[in-house]
Amino acid sequence: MRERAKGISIDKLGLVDEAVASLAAKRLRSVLTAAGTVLGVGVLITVVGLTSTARAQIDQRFNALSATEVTVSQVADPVTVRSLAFPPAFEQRVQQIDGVEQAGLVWQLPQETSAVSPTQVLGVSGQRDSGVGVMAVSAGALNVARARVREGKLFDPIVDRAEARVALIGSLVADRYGIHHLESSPAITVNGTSFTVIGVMDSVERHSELLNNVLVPAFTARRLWGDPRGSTSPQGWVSVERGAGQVVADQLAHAIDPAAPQRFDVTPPPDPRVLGNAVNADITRLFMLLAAVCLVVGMVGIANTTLVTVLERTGEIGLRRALGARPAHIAFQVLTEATITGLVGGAIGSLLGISVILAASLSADWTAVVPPEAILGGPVLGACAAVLAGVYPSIRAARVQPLEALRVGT
Amino acid sequence: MTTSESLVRPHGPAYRIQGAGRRFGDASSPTSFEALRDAAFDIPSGSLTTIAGPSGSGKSTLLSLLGLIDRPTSGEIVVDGVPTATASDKFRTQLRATKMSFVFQSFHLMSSRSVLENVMLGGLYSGLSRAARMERAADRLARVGLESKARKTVATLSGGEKQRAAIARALVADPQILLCDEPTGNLDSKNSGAIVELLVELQSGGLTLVMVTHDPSIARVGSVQLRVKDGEVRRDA
Ligand SMILES: Nc1ncnc2c1ncn2[C@@H]1O[C@H](COP(=O)(O)OP(=O)(O)OP(=O)(O)O)[C@@H](O)[C@H]1O
Ligand SMILES: [Mg+2]
Repeated sequence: MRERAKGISIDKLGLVDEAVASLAAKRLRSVLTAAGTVLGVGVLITVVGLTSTARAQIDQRFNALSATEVTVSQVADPVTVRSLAFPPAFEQRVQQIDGVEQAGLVWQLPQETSAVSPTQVLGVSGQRDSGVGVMAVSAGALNVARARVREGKLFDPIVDRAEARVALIGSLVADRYGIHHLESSPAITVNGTSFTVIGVMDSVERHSELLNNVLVPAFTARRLWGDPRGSTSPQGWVSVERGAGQVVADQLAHAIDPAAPQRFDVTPPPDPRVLGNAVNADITRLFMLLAAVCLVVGMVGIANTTLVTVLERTGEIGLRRALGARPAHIAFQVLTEATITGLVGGAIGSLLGISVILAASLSADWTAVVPPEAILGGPVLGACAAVLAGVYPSIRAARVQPLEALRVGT
Repeated sequence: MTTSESLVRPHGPAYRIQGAGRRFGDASSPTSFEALRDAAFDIPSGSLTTIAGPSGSGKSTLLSLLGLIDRPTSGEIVVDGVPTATASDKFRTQLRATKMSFVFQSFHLMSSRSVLENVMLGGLYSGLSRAARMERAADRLARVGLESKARKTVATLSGGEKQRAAIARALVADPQILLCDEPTGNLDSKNSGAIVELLVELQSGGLTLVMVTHDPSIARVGSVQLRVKDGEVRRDA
């Protein structure tokens, strides 16, 4: 037998051309076939993208604010109703801990002791005002809050320790009292004592309640009105470096008062990942399931349409076989047709998904985060699904006998 | 005579049919049907052979055996000195790709694609490069008088033009043997005449042409005229 085992090597690109041309010949059908894959991949990319966008957003917020702040409060002590557990050296002690950036003490003064009225301000002079509260803050607390003044200056440790009769107000309070300039040394009366306003704050990055209060130095408040009482429990605010939250929290109570650490209740920053994941996990799973269903529907669509085109083209396939096509050539062409459908569907789905992510991010004023593997993975996923879907139709196509070309058809 | 001897022999018959038969269904089954029985004849290289006979007599069955698109259930079909009856599918496919080509009653053109693309398909499985297929397709279209229709879609062609395109496709891979099953079966008499004329003209260039027809006047153009009746092949001339 002079049978040569090696077959003819044929132009593989020519087979791909045939696949493309066959799809192009039935353009509308090809587009509709790809629709399922478009939907499946589109939903998948959207879910992945939105999830990572939202997670990045949560990370950003928590990193910037909560994740870098530890708060410590005083455990209520039934015996000594009126006492301050925080030592005067609170700030210095806390700052010994590695990872601590700033620390400060804050407490709200009870309403009855803090009748505020602006003095030397025309119009409202002498009137009591219950809408504005008074807070005692140490210089460090203002740093923790990252307060900025529109005019004047913040307290500094010297002012604080000097028990000066000075006050800071937020820009809202300033507007309310008509305090526009500090040159005339405007003053505010708190419970009969006059305080000179040395600064007007226009923003804080944490603890926005500072802007609604008249702030007086902690040492001054203590001298005038004694230790904070009962409901107005003092708080220590500690800002820490990124990632140092838990470590600092663990050491804090002991650092404040080694003799009685049990008197302090430390709140470490929330773990953003745990929080973000908890919020998203269920919904993500649901959408992933939806995407998977869409993808399976897409696969069934491709499998079905490809099978139909194979059955429709029995005569054509028979002719190709008569012209010398091997079963592998036929299978390759059919599989290529399915794969191209999936690839294009996946690519369009990816683009749609990315558009949705961008639009959603834009409208929520977020930074869109699209994982790069999602952009590449979309078309690849579509193609893989299509290859699976194309297996059976291509086997069927490869089985068509050349004799089919003899049948009378088109 | 060994196979290799016969391969190098320059002017042997294109076909040597040795007691070939084709039975559909299992021989032991009462519904089995012998469409072709004990056929034995030669087809010389470069001849024009016609196969005539009534409907259902076994003409297409015979042609599909000659074209290696069906296997005989008995006997042997020697193509150019090479026995094929029990050869592997791969080898038979390779022979189809390189040695022979087909023109069918139903043209089997891809109607939404261009005439040129359809004709180029004739060389794809024979291992021709895209450029070679393109060049040859243009040449064969000129030979069948369709050069002006190359870029048109097949759907816009008349029946006669479609069969010309199919003939051009069959010629792209330079086959030695062209097998036609009722090539004029779907055409009116005027177009039939023109297609037969074209085939005869092409054959005069050395092609071995085998044409099935039920039209006696067409059958008469054959230098070898075979007649099939109830599965029996007889030589008329
Ligand atoms: N696959 C098959 N299974 C069973 N019987 C078949 C098959 N193919 C053909 N036959 C039978 O074999 C006989 C010969 O068929 P064939 O197609 O060769 O006839 P034909 O001479 O070409 O007829 P026509 O002129 O109508 O094309 C017919 O009776 C047909 O029914
Ligand atoms: Mg027939």
